[in-house]
Amino acid sequence: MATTSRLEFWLRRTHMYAALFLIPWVLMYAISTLVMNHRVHLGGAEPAPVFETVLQQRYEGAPAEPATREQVAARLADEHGVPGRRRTSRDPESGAITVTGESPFGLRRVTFEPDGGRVTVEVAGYGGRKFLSQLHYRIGYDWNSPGERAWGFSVDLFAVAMLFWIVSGFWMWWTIRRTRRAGLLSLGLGIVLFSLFLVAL
Amino acid sequence: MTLAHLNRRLHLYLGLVLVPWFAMYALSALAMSHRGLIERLGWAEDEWTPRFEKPYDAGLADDADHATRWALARRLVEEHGLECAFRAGRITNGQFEMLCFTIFGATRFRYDLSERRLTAEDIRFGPVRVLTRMHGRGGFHHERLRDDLWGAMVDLVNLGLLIWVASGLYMWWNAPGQRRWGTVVLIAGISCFIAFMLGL
Repeated sequence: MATTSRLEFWLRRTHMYAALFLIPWVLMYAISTLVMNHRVHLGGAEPAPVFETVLQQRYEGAPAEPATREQVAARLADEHGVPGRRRTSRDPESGAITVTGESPFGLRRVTFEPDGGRVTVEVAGYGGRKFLSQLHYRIGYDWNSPGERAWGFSVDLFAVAMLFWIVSGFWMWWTIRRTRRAGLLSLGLGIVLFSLFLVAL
Repeated sequence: MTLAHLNRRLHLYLGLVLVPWFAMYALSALAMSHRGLIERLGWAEDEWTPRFEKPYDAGLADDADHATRWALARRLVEEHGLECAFRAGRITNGQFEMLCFTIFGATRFRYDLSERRLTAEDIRFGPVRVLTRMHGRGGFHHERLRDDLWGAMVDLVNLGLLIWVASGLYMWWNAPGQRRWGTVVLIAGISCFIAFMLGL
């Protein structure tokens, strides 16, 4: 009995403190989902970001040949603060190398033109809707950036916490005898509704 | 019944009704987050199988607008007696593609404009793909009422999450013994979230 009480005590505390810690994630996912779900009511897709040039100068530290595209891009990204999610491209005609980094706040693009030895830095900010969807869609560990991986870990933590809330919630519910019937009805309603959608969709 | 009591019951019963959705979102998020592992385990192996290939005159021009492509997609669904939600793609390299999908599978049509040839393939999704596809569904832009109803359900689940937060905070604040540590944990969570976000 004492063991059960102790387990229940820890389940209740962990249920509550995990929820308090993860409230920002719950709010972010709930609000971003509502916004994405109502895209058609909010004027459809967000307009494409507009780049603004913030720096254009001769590139003093032009890499000695034969530097690979990735080497040049990594150097440009480090020198001009390009955020973690980076894509690199090379213009086949001019040989210009572009590295574009994306954060939830917007895009930062650095272009190196070897002919003129010039580097251009452009930025494009995201609006509120894009910011939310960027946070929502970020998941996993595919990007070679500590910040992206840390975020991926937080998403995993949140998903595991959701499963824990379900399990601990079941336990807490079942220990309150007088809520069992109404609880079973609620749970049954949810399962039936979910199953109906499964079949209909 | 006091407000505190009502709040507890709301927190509990709302959670129980929405359990299937929370479980689906949590499991599918983990599956998407660990896509590489899922593939290595062979849990994401779904294959397209040919359905047919035939001559077909869709009367589609290279520069057909979205409404025309959408109308063709609807026509293909109706002509082939399919029961599904659908999506009309763009015309790329002289080929139009549309997808007719349910939770458990999909049929993909490809129409070659110059050859006037229509091909169709079917796929049956495995459990992991079923979960991730459910996760991604929503919105109110569909042809079928039932798909829009799912969008309404997505709203309800997320409003449920917000009510869960509010009712949870109320319960916490009404347990005076937990206020100090709760505040510490809440501030720690907010700080971590901001730090993680700025690190992106």
